[in-house]
Amino acid sequence: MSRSDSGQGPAPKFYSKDYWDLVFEQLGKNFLFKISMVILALLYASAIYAPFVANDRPYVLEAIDYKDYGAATKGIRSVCSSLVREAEKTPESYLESRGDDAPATLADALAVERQALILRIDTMQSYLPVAEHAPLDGLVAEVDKAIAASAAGELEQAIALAKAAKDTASALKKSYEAVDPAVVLEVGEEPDGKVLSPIKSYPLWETITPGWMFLMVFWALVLSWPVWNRIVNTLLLKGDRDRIRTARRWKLGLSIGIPILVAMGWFGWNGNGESSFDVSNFKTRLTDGEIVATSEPVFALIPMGYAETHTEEKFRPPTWSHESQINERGRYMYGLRAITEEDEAKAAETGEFVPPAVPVTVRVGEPDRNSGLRHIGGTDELGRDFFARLLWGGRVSLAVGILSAFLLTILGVVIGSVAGYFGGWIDVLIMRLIEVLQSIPAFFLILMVMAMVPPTVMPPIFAIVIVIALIRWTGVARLVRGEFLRLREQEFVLAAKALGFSSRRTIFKHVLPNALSPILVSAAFAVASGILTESAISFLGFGTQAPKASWGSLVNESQSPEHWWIQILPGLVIFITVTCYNLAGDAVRDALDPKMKD
Amino acid sequence: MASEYLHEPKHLNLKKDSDQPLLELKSLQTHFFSDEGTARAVDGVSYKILPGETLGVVGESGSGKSVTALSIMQLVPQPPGKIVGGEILFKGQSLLGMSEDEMRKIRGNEIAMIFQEPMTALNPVFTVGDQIVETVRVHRGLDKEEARAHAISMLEKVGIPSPETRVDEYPHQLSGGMRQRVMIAIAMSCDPSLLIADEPTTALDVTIQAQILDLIRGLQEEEGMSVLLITHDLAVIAEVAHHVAVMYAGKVVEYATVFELFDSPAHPYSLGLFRSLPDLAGPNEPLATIPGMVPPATRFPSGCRFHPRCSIATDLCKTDEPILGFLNGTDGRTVACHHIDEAAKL
Repeated sequence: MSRSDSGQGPAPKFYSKDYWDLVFEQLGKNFLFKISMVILALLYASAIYAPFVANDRPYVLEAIDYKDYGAATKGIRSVCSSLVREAEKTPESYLESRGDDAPATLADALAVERQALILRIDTMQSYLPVAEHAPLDGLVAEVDKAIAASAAGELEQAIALAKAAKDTASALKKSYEAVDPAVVLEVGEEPDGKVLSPIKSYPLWETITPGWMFLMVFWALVLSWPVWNRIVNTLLLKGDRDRIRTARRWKLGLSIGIPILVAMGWFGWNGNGESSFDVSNFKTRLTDGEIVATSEPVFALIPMGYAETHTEEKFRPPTWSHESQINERGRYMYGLRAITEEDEAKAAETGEFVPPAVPVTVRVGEPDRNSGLRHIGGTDELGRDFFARLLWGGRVSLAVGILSAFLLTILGVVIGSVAGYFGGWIDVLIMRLIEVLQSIPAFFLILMVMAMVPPTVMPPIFAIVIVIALIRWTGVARLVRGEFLRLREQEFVLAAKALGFSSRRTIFKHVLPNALSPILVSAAFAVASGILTESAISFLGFGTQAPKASWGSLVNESQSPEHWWIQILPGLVIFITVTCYNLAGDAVRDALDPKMKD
Repeated sequence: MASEYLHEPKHLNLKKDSDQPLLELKSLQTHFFSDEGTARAVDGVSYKILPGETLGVVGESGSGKSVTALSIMQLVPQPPGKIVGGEILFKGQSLLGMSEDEMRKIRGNEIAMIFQEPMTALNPVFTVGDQIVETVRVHRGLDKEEARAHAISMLEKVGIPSPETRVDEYPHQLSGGMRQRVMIAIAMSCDPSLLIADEPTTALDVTIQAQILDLIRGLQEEEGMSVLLITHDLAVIAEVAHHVAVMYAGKVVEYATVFELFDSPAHPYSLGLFRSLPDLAGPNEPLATIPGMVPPATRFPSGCRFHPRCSIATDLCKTDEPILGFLNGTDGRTVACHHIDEAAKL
């Protein structure tokens, strides 16, 4: 920005502004464009970071899983019992009595038992101090001996060893029983059993796939671009316009390269992730005391899973609203749907049926029953948190918008430029095809195709993207063809030919960039219309299928005007997104015009 | 239509190999086929350009000047256009027999072209530097740095101030004259032996016109290339051309050295052209005009195509087409008229 005219150098350099300087300058002057871009960036951020904002898994959990430990402790004995049964068999007798899905040979069966034992012992050891590990390792050694004897064919010895191991396991099972945490805390004396130490785990992070890691890092770079770009320009490049210009490619490369590296590192660290954000039972188990947290577990801002149901809270209005106040018994206290205790009493007299109220359970990590933050977007028919669903639904809606616009633009550009450049019968054929396609109401065509593609064949989200692209490319193709027909007559195309350039070079290097600005603008509008189309299809129930949600299918959760938040909130985000895209598209159209005044 | 009517211009100090013409058109015919009929835009044009000389082609709009130029480059839009007859010899090779690939190596490299409208002939989305760089990289295979250095030196050569910064500018940031200079720089970047300039100054104002013509002339002297200058402006012809071909309705009606033509135009049409020039020194009279218009190329009249507009036309002119014949007492000057003697009296 700052032109160095302080006269430090030998001659103050004059810099002409290049095309992109002009485009960005022009866009920077457009207030509506800036606002739209900020809103869109935040909307995409909310979609990309949804797992971190709304999730029923804790970020960090330092806890003892007593149930897990208890199961493992019981398990070692039962594993040893079945080991004894296997040890009684010879390889031949094993094969005779072998069930269909049992391991192929006796050795395999024994290995399976050993593996089961190791797993359980690992679980136990992970909660126990190192000093307590030795007896458990001793059990493994005994089992190994028994297996070795069985492999050597010494049947009696194997049985004896296995039985000994079983006895050891029984003893261990008793002596390694965990101390009830309540006893430790209350009695304060040395209890009978083992005191377990907590394990730190990161249940939320474990579900993040490398792909999402890439998107998250990339988007963080995009959002922080105004900051780091300025720092790099002033500190590293010292405000030199030439170097800034050449550094553009580097910056672009790094903003894609760094996320790729991070994602690869993440793959090495975390594996493939679970990729599924289905409901977890952490909160319930913490509440029930199956898991005892030794320090406060850290939950996401909205500690609700997107498919987590709470039927006792069904159709609860946003909790910041007065109407959503619930008393201890689970009855709404105010508002349209409130049934007070007097109502109940009166109903009991007349014999009228009043549905029983279920008190709201507040689990570990959740806001209080009537806290304004409990369900800031209300809940739906199954008591799922609506704000969490909005965030997760945005992932589908925004992705469908971008992907369908991308696909249909590529299709349209390729087909349109072929028609426009070659003309003749190719053009006639393509244009007639386009006219036929356009004569069919696009929306009903999409609906029909969606109805015919069963979700088992292709996930509805991909089906929508592909169907929208396959049906909506015609507009872009016509636009590109028109641009090509116009540009083909321009003298610079003739000039390019007169300079001996091939027709491929002429089309793609000289004609296409000139047609780029209408293409970009129509792509921006295509994103908006893709979002709308997906919403409409999902609203009608042909698109995204529950428990997955998109903004359109969320509107469909209830048509009752009583449940206003269900129509207004998704409707509002759809409206905002589409408006922002249209405003941005308009601004880009103005700015990309190379003939603009500077 | 043999080419023997052309003689080496004696007043030119030409190169040694000048007896071999650089470019020779032999009764070139380019027709456009449309629903309204066949437009014979170029109908038997013959001329030749010697190495290092400038041939001016002059004529009204629709006389086929530009189509001839496009035919040489083989850029006539096809369909509807088609070169139906004749021959184009460039350095002794027939261009018409060449494949598209061979032709591409000639275009921009051996024969370059500059256009009338510098506003639209430059690609608006690339910097002027990129446009030169691309040309030399395609034809000469230079690497990026060399090509950029070459682009800057070309811009310097065509007289653009501070070429190091201008090289990164977009066409819309330059004035009309600058753009035409850039066009010339692009055309000259591969050091062509023939430059076709299709009305290079028409879109420019008069002072800039003079600068551009000076530039073309200067570059020509420096590089020793030939120039085919197409214009309807006789003043431009007088400025730079060595030989002049006057075209009317798809045919060459007169071919002469620039001095001969300006001293004594022989064809009634050439005469008409000179009559219609404003005479600033003479008495204040209404400007003379040639009555009528150039006939549309689909309906050329029979006989001499100029006869409906010619004041000395006879019945002969209506039926018989005159051929280009040598003018007595001249050195290679040719005129296509049945009544040269009467024309001389006009």
